[in-house]
Amino acid sequence: MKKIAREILLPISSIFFAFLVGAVIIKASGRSPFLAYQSLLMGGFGSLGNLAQTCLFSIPLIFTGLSVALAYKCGLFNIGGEGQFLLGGLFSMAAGIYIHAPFIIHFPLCLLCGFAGGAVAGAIPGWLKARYGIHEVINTIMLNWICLNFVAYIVNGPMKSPSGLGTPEPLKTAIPPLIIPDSVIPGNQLNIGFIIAIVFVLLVGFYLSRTVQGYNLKAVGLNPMAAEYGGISISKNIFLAMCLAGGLSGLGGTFYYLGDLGRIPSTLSFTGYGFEGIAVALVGGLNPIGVFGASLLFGSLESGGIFMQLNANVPKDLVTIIQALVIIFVIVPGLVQSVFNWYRAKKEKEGFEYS
Amino acid sequence: MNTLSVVRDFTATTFRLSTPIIFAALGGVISERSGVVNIGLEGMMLIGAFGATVGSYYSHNPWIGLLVGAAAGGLAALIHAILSIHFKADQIVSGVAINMLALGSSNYLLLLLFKTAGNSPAVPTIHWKIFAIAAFILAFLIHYFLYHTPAGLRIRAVGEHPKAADTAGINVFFIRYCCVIASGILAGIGGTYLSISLLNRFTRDISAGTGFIALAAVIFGKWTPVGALGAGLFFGMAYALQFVLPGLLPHGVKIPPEFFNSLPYLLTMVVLVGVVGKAVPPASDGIPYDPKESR
Repeated sequence: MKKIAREILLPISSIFFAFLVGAVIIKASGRSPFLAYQSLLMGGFGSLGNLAQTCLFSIPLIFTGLSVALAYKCGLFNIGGEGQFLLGGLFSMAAGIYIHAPFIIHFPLCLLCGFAGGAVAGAIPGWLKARYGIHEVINTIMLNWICLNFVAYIVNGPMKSPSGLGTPEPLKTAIPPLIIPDSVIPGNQLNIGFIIAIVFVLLVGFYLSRTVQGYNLKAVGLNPMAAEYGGISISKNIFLAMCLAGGLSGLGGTFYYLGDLGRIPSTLSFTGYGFEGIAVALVGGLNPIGVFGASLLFGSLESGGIFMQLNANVPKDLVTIIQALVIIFVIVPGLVQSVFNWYRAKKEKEGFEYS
Repeated sequence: MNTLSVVRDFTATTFRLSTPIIFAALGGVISERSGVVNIGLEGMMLIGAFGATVGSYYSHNPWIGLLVGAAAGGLAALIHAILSIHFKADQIVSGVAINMLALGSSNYLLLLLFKTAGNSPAVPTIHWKIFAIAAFILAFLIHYFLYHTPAGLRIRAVGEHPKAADTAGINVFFIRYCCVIASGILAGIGGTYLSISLLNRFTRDISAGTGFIALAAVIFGKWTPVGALGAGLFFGMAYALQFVLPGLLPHGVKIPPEFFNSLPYLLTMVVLVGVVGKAVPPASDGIPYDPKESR
């Protein structure tokens, strides 16, 4: 029980401190931190529509967060989420446009293609790591840019639509259906991806904690030499972990491009979801349930950020700053700890003076 | 179009596009030689570009802009140094955080200071040739510094085997702090070049991956200053090709620009596999130094 409390305390206090520093920044800009955070909260959770928007924004984050967390469990650092996201989006979009089938076949097929696309982008650095021992960080970064250029080429070349906006729209049978009908919450776009994301949270959690394969994967992450000695192949698990991690990010791209955007735009850039996935995974303590919670938080920041900019006149880019600060506080437990220590020392000193 | 002007344009474009890569890559070499991986080059360039624009805008003097840009990059690097050296945080995650922080704060300040989400107003600039020549000279200076001076030897020792260096009386933390801050200053100058030399203003996300190309150049140049210079030039050439090549290719043959854009990254992966000779990073690159740990 105490262990769980400590595990939750770090992310919570990190988030708290990040917002505290954020408040100082807002104050220094001559705006009201109170109004800004109130608008941020209202924009994220204020109405059913906003809540639906928050859930929608959290879908890609859940997938990229799971991706980073799963790779991390195998001792791998996946910063290739951006590229895997794009390639997954491209594969699923191609399936969505060119395959004709009823929904019940077409939609799962799109998901499979999206997963496969991301898995390809993950498999390459995974294979290079397993076969040649090359650090996956460099290769995943390089692949981000290669994927960006490749997808940009396909979107503006072979898959270009006559409208010039990017790819054509996918067929109706490929678009993730809405969960809540428009008549209940007007204008909401929350699609079935949210439910599938929750299923994947549970699946990844089950896989990591209840299956032999998941155990092997974690064993390689914890102590590769001991795992190998125990008969677990290091290279096989590294390759597998990167494929799965890539596939998860690819699914994020699938829902983003098929659902949110409805096409891959011609002016292609990184969405930021891959990098935010790192933040989400760290804040979530590399635990699938934690990833889910952190994704909701970050999703709410994104949907609330626009509202904050309009309402409190604070640029929504503050959200990015806060996310970066959260990462900083999480990776440096010493930073949070030293604030606590300083506070305690101050308290003790004060107590001493009184007595 | 005659051949001479094509060659001249091509050379000029190569140098123009190489310069920011070389500056940031030299920074990367110094930092990684001392044992600190710097994924945050991109962010340090971005914040440097913004700082330079602000400095040049308010002082009407681009040289002040250069100073502010370099200082801004150094400041971002200081955060990276504190996190990864003092607090022994994961250097890669810290770098990712620096990149996000730079992206967020440059856009935040852009809206706050210039009331725009896109382009800042035009500011006074510095001629690009000054930067290009400086980058060349600097590469050889850093080479001399790293391989022919006691301080350079210390830096390399700290990057290879910090414990041994510590035992020999070298202050590992101090050296690493200096190197990381120097890398931020260099990346900041690279960013300064982008905003007040190549362009005359700051635009949203102006670095657009240049810092990551610089990271590739560090590896492609096998963690040496002259190698980074060569890699920077080579990558700049790959970019310049896409402006020149369409006029030279036979009619109907087209190579998509995206191919040239991915070339630096593709080549770096190829180099890492060892096709063009093995690329080996400094032995303790990326590992925080803990004096209490016995290794």
